Amino acid sequence: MGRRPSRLSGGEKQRVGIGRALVREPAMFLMDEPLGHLEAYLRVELRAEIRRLQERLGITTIYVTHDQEEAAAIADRIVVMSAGRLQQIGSFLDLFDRPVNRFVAEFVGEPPMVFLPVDRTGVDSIAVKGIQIPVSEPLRAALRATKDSELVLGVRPNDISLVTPAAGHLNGKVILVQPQGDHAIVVLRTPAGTVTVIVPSDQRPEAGATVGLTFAGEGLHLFDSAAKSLLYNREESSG
Amino acid sequence: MAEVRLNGVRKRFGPIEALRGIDLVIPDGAYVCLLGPSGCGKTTLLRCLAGLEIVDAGEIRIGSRSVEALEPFARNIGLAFQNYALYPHLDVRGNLAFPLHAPRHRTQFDNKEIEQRVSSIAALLQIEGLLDKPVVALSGGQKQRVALGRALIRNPAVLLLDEPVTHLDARLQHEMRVELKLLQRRVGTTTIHVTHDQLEAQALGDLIVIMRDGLIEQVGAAEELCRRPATSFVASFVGDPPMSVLRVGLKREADTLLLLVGAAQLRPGERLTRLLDGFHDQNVEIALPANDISLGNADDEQTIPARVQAHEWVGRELQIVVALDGSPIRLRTQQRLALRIGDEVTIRANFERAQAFDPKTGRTLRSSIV
Repeated sequence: MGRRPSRLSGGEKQRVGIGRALVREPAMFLMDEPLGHLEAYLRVELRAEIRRLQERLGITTIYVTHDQEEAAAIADRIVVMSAGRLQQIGSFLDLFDRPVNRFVAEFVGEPPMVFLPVDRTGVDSIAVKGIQIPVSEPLRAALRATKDSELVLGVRPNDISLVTPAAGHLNGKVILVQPQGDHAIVVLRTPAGTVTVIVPSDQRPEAGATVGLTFAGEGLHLFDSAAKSLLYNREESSG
Repeated sequence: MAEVRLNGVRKRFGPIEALRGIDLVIPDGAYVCLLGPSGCGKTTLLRCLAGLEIVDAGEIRIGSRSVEALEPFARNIGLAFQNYALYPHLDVRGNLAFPLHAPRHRTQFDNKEIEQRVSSIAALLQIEGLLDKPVVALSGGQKQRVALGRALIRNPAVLLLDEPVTHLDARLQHEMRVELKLLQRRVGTTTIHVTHDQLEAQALGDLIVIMRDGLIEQVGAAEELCRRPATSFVASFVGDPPMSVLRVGLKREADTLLLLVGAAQLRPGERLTRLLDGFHDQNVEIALPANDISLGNADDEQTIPARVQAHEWVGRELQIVVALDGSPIRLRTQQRLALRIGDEVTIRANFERAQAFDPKTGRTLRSSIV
C-alpha cells in the first residue's frame, strides 16, 4: 500500500488501476484493452480475476478487446464490431455456431472458418468443384429462398472429417500437420483451395497423404454475394 | 545447412545467471523451437548463437566451425526479429538486398548476382509485386515476409527467429505459422525459433527445447513432451490444455495406498501405486491429462469436492478451472453449464494415465516395467 506505482509489476499496476476505477462504486465499469500489453500468462490470470470481481460486485461492465479468446473467456455477451458498425451481439457460442455474416464467421474461431465457393446445381443443391455437398433441410430451405448465384460455403475446421479418398468426395493432399496437444491442425491443398481441418491427435494423417473430406451437415454455413449468412441473418441472436 | 552444437554454454548478466550450462545438438535441417516462460534464457541463448552476446563459457559449433569467438557477420546466420527491424528509408528491394552489400562479408556480390538473389527470394516469399514499395506501406504479414527474405538471402547455414509471429492477430498467426513451416521445408535451412507460446512451438517444431531458469528442462517432439513430460514443469506447461498438476498427500492403510486430495481420499489404481512405491507420508506431485478429469456427482465414489475459479469457452467446449490446495485443475466439458465463480462442483479423476514426480528432483517417476 505504501509503494509508489513505479515500483509495482505490470500485474500489480493493473490491479491498482482497476481498484481506482472501482473505489467510487460506479454504476457501470468501462475497460479499454486492460490486459493488452501484459504477458500471456498474466493476461490469463488477470482476466479470471476481473471476471471474479465482476461476478461478485455485479457491476455492468463493458470491456473492449481485439482478442477473441479474451472476449470468450470474460464476457456474458460479445458485441462484434467492424468499420464502425455493430455486426452481431451474442454469447460466444452464438457467434461461433450462428454467425450472421462472413465477417463474424471469419473473425470468431481459431483457426478460422474455411470458405469454399460453391456452384448451384439445382434449386436447393450445391457443389464444390463439381462435388455434390449434402445439405441439411434448413440449408435447403434457405437455398430455395434466394436466387443469388455467388454463394460461399463456410465450415469450421472441426466440422470437417478426413476419410479415405474416393470419387464423389472433395479430395486433398496433406501439406502440413501441426500437433496441438490432444488435437492436430491439418492443412490440405484441394481443388477448391487450401483447407484447414482439426482432427484428434490419434487420427492425424501423414504429410503428403491424399485424403477425402466430408462435412458435418449441421456445421455448414452459407453466405450470399453480400457476405450475409443465409441461415442466421433473419433471426436476431438470442443474447 | 548445418548441424548446431552447444557445449556447456554459460552467460551471466551481473548477478543474474541467464544460461547455466546449455548442452544441445540441433540436427542439420531441423526446425527447433526454444520454448519457456519469460526469463528462462531462451532469447539470451538465441542472441549468443547470433553473436549479439558473447558467451562466458562453453562452445558453439555451426557445422564444423566453432563460432563463439566470431563476429555475428562471420557466423553465416540469418536473423529475423519480432519487430521486423526493417530499414524504413529503403524499399522492399533495398531491404532484401541489404545483407548482400554489407562490406565486411568475405563474399562480395556483383549487381547481376544481387538482382538474381532478390528476385528468387521474392518469388519464394511471394512478394514480387511489393519490391518497389516502401516498407512503411506494408501490412504486418508482408513486413514479416520481407524480414524473412532478408534473413535468408545469403543462404545462411542457420536461420534464427525471435518470436516472429507472436504479435500478429490470431488469423494472421495461423497463416504465418503455416507459411513459415512450408518455407523452411522448401529451403531446408536449420531453423531455431524462440517463442513463449507452447501451441506455436508444437505447431512448428520438429524438436522443442523447453527451458527454465537458464537450463534445458527437456528436448523432444511435441507428442513426446505431451505424453511423457520429464518434469512437472513440462507437464504443466505443454498441451492444450496442459496437464493439471496436483499436490497430493500419501497415506498407507494396511497394504493400500490412498491419495489425499483436498478433502478426499482416493485410490490411485495399480499403476500409480507401483510408481509411488517407496514414498511415505509426504506430498508428491501428480499430473493428470485434462481428458482424465471430469465433472461427477457428489454421491459418486472417487470424487473430489472443489470450487470453480474460472470458466471460459474454448471453441464449443467449456473449460473449467478449479483450485485444489492452491493448484489450478483444468477440465473441459461439452455440457452447456451456467456456472458462476465460487460454485461448488464435484470432480472425478482417472489416474490410469497420471504421471508422478519425484519430490526431491521434480523428475517423472518411471516404472521399471514399461
